[in-house]
Amino acid sequence: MTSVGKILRLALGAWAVVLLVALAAPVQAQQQPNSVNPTALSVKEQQLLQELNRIQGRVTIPDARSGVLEQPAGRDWRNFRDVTLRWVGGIAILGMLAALIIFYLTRGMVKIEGGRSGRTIVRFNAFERTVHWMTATCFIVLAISGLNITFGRPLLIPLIGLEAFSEWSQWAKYAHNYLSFPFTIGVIVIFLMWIGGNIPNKVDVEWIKRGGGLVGDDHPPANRFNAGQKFMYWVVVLGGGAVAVTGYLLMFPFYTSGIEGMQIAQVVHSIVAVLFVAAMIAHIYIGSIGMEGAFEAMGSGTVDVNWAKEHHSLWLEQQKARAAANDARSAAAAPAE
Amino acid sequence: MKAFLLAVVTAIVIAVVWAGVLNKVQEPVSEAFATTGVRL
Repeated sequence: MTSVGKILRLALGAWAVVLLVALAAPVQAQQQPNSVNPTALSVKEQQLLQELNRIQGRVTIPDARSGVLEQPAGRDWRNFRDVTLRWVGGIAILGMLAALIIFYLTRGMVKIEGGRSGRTIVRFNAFERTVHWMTATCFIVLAISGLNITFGRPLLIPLIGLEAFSEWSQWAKYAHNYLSFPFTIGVIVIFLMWIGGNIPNKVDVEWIKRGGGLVGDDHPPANRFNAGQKFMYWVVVLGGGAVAVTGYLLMFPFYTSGIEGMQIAQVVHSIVAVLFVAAMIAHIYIGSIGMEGAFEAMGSGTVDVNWAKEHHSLWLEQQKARAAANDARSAAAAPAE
Repeated sequence: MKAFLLAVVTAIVIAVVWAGVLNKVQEPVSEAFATTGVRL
C-alpha cells in the first residue's frame, strides 16, 4: 500500500510539472516580443515592422529594389498622401470656391463703368488664344484626372462602385500621362510669349495699393498685364514648370531617382497641383462671371475700348500711339495727288 | 471659337504623338518585371 501511494505521488508530481511547463510556455513567448525570428513561419508583418522598422527580403525578379516591402519613409509618404494632402487640397480648393462665392455675392460682377463704347481693340491674336486654350483645356483634364488620384477613392467609389471607378481611373491616368506633353509645351510657349509684359514694375505696386479696382469703383492704371494677371502668369510658369518636372520624374520611375526621390517628387507635384487648381479657379472666375467684358479678350480676341480704358489704360494709350504712328507712316508713304 | 477648336485639335495631335513615344520608351509591367524564369 505504501509503494502504491509512493507511485501515485510521483505520478501526480510529474503531471503537475508537465502542466506548469505547458501553461508557462505561451506566457513566456508573449513576454519576449524582442526576440522575433524573422525567418520563423509564425512571424507577423507588424512584428517585423516594429522590430526592424522596414520589411525587406530577397526577390528573384530583375528589380532588386522591389525586395523592400515596407520602409519608414514609405509610411510617412503614405500618411501624407492619404491624410495631409487631402486636407491641404480640400482647404485650398473649397476655400477658394467659398471665398469667390462670398466675393461674388458681396461685390457682384465688375461692370464696365462707362458702358460699352461699341468700338473694339485687339487684345490677343489668334496664336496667343490658341496657345492659351490648348494649355487651359489640357490643364482642366489634368486637374480632374489628378484630383481623382487624391480624392477619387473616398468620393467616387461610394457613388459609382469599384468597377466603374477602376475603369474611369484607368482612362483618367492615360489622359493625365498623354496630355501632360501639350500642357508642358503650352507652358513653355506662354513663358516665352508673354514674359515681356510680365516683369513686375512700379505700376504694379500702385495697382496693388489701390486694390486692383476690385473693391469700389477705382480703376488703377495698368499696362497690358496688371499685377493680378502677372501673378497668374508666374503661377502658370513656375507652378506649371514644377508639376511638369516632377510629373516626368514620376512618369519615368527609377530613370533619374530612387524611391525616396520619387516620394519627394510626388509630394511637390501634388501640393503645387492643388494650389495651382485653386489659383486657376480664381482665374476662371475673374475671366468669366467676375468681370464684364473680360472673357472676350480670349474669346474673340478683341475687347471694348471702354473696358481697356478702365482696366488697362496705359496699354490702351500705347496702342493708340502706335496706331497713330502707323497711320502717319502710311500717309507719308502714300503718293501725293 | 476657331482658336479654341484649333487648340483642342493641336492638344490631341501632340498627345497622340506623345502617347506613341511613351509606349516605345516605357516597358509594360509584364516585360519590365519579368525574366525568362518569371512571368507576371
